[in-house]
Amino acid sequence: MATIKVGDAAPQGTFNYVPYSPELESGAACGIPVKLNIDEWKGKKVVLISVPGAFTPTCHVNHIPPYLEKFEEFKAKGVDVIAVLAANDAFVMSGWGRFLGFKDKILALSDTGAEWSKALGLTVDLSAVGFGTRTARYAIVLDDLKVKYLGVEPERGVTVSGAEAVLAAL
Amino acid sequence: MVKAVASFEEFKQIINSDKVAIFDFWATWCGPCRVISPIFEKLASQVEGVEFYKVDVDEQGEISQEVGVRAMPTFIAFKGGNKIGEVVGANPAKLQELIQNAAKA
Repeated sequence: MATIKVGDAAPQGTFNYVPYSPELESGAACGIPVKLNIDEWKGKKVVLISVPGAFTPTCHVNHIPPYLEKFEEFKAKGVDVIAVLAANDAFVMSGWGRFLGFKDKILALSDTGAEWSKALGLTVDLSAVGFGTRTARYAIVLDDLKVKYLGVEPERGVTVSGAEAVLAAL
Repeated sequence: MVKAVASFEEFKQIINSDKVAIFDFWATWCGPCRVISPIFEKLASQVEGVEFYKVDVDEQGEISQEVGVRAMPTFIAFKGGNKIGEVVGANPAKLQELIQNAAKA
C-alpha cells in the first residue's frame, strides 16, 4: 500500500537514464547513462508514470502511448517534465523509449532496485512471474517536489494512472 | 597521431590554446567507437595543422561531464576555448567533413 499521499513531499531519490540523441536510433552511437537527482525537479511540474517493466504488454499497448499522443495537452497544462519509470536498467529503458518513439519528449528512467518506489510504498512483488521486486503501476504528479496527484492502479489495467485521468487532475 | 588525454587540467590547456584540437570521446565497451577509431587514426595521420586527441569517458568522467557528452563516439573540435564543430555517432563521412572544416578554421 502507498505510504505517500497527496500533499506530502516527494522522497529523495536518484534515477539513471540515457539522454536521448538521434544517433542512438541507428545504432551508430552508444548512449551514456547519467544520473538524475529528484532535486532537479524543484520548481517544476512533473508527471511521472511507473510501470512494472519495460515492454510489458499492458503498458506499452495502452498505458504509455496516450501520454505521447497527448504530449501537447500536458504541455498546455504547464507540465515541464513527463517521465516513465521502471526498475529495468537505463539501457533497457532507453531501448523501450526508442521503440515507443519518446525521442526527447518523455524521459525513460530507471528506478534502480525500485528504491524510490519503495520509499513511496509502491513496489510490487512479481517474483512469481520471474520479475522480482518491481515498481507498481501508478502515476504521480509533483509540483515543486510536492505530491499533487497520486493514482495507483488497484488491479491489472489502466484507469487512474492513465493519461486521461492524469490530464483531468491537472 | 592521436594522443590520449590524461587529466582534466590537460584537457583545459589543450582547448584553450590557439591550435585547433579534435577529440574522440570513446569507451572500451562502445562497439561503434571501435568501428570508427581506426578511421580517426588514419585521418589524424593525413591532416596537417590540427591536433588529435582521444578521451576515455570512463577514465575521464570530469571531462565528459564538462563537455556534456551524451552518446559515443562523439567527436568535438575546439579552437581558442570554443567548440567549433561536433559529430555524434560513427559516421565516417561526417567525421571527415568535421576534420576538413576544422583544418580550415
